[in-house]
Amino acid sequence: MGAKVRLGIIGCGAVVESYHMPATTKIKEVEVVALVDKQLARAADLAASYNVPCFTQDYRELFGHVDAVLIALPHALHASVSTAFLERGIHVLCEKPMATTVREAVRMLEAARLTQAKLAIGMVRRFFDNARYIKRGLNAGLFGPVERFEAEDSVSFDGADIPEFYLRADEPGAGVLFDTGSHLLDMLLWWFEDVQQVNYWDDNCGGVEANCYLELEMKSGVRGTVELSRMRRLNNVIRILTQTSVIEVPTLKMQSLRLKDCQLDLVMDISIENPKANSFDNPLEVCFARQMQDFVNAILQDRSPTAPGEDVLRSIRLIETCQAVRQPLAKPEWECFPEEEAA
Amino acid sequence: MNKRLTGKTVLVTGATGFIGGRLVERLVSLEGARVRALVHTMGNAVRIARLPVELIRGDLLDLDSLRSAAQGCDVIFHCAYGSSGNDEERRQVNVDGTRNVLQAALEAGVRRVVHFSTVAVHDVDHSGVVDETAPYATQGDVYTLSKIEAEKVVFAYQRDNGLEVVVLRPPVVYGPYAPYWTVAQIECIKNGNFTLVEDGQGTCNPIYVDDVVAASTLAAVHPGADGEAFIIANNPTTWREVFGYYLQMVGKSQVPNWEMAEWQAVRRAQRIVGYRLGRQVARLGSPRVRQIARQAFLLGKVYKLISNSLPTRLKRQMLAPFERLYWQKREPQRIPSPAEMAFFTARTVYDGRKARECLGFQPRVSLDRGMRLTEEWLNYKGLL
Repeated sequence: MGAKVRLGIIGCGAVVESYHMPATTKIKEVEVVALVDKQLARAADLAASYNVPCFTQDYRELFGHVDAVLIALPHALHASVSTAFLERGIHVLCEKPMATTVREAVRMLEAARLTQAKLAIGMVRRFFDNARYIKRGLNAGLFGPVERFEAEDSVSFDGADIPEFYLRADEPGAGVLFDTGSHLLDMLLWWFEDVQQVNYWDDNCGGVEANCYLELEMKSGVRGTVELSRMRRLNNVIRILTQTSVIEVPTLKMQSLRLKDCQLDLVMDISIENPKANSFDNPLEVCFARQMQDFVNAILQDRSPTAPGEDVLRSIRLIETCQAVRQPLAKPEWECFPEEEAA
Repeated sequence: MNKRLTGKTVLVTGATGFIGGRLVERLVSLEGARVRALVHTMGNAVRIARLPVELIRGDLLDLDSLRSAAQGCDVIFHCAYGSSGNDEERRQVNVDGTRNVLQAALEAGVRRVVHFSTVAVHDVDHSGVVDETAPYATQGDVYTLSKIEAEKVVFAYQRDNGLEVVVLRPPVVYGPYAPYWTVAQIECIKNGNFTLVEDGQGTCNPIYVDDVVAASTLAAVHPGADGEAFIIANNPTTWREVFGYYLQMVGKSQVPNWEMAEWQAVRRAQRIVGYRLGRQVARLGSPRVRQIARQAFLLGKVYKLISNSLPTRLKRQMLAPFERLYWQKREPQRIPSPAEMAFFTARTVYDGRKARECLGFQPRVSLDRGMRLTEEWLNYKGLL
């Protein structure tokens, strides 16, 4: 491999156009050499914007011509396409979710192990300043023993022309649990380690869930709840409750924290300054750039990335457990029809 | 429950909207129908995607997309309408879009099309009982006029091509997800833009969304419904009672009120001094409105003189005292349009007898219960 990592990008949707491509321009050790998309015009447009020399519809054309790939395809394709590259020793940064089953994820890990290719997962929230600080604080015991956590995260698709795979019942990994949940559950597992017990409810009535609720008990004894929604506005926060304080970590704002000291009855809003972020137009871009830099460093320095596949596998396992123990979420009264109630 | 739709394949246009979305839920969970949902913007389909529903991308103005969606369908519920864009675009969706739905239905051998219209199509004298025999309105906004045009297209398809059609005309439909009669009213009250008219003593004909979709499933199968229009109504009440529920939900007891005489005085002032100053007059509120309207004439002359003869920046500086003169520390009061005044003072009662007698439709949700469910939903959505 030369001084630069030759990167191919598979899938040219919104996240690539808005975040990954701008991020690659900030990393001097990476050169995007090819773009792949089923819609060739989309790949061509993006290639023209970023002077990428090659674009195609078939990802297999990249075999032998790239050192690494970024996979940003519909969820159900992540594992198979990643595995095809890993088997050829090509390093993979795979967007979340890593896979839609544990079996697929294990196959990815096995392929990476055999060829010594790096497998990083696009858990971009691990690069948020507040999340990194909490991780360090928990490891160092800065906040004292954690009693429980409460996490809630929502995303609204209202008015957005989203790809159909997000809503197709026959498409693995379509609902809110895989979509928003893979970020949030990975974060909780990163902070609090493995889960011992899980209860799970969702509102899937033969389609794709839009709301779900989890009760978790971690092996450390910490208990917590998780609420996810595509249908209503939640507070988008992870609350960590200790004996003396409550730490509120916004899930979508990466540079703020709120600390409530219950003994002194104080609320402190903490704004995290990061001079390195100033050169970016959008605060989220800096996290994508960090993620790409981390991936490239892992390749060039032969070390583990921040979100390695074997670590992220735990969240896929947790999601699979949720599906196995699933119970229906109680319907709110306004969703029941008068005839149902009469019956 | 109407089991005659069990196992039938139905297409719902406007399936991601307020009435269409609730209809999809009923068709799947209560009627046992196989539902295809025509989806214009996929992100709006999150709610119905929870159900075993076939989501089909389509556009009312794209006949080919409707042709493929209608294939193999027994019934089409046509709920979609033009809710965005300019007047011409909205008219196109309502009229040409409806024609496309009917054409696709005809070509695909669909048995019946249930078309969602509105009581606004009727020409009413604002005081009496109105039933389906009332003539079409001869004037109105683009919504009213295009809905009339759409109905004419619907009946023409029945007459000329033998396609079974039923037209439903609901009045004020409220409930979870109601964009206008629930969400917009709550927003209006919350942001201080809400006004009552004549203390809300005009007649309101509210109906809860579940009752409307229940009526539509009856209309889809009733043999005597072909070629008919039905007003789908519940008990009439006053606007005061309906808005009273919303005011209570938001926690407001006092809201501005427009009496007809005051409104007419302000309108006169507006005609004399122009809209902007007229608005300032209106902000003074009811007790002094008529007096100010007279004073406004002279002030308006000065105002106009300044505003017509000076450069913008200087004009702003000079007009500032006038603005302050007319500004009091109270919430600005929105001036209802003439159409709104007519609508909210009307004593029209929409008669739902035909739907009761012919379809066997009986509303099940009282206003009190409907509003309680609506409040629960508003809380759930974080809108209160």
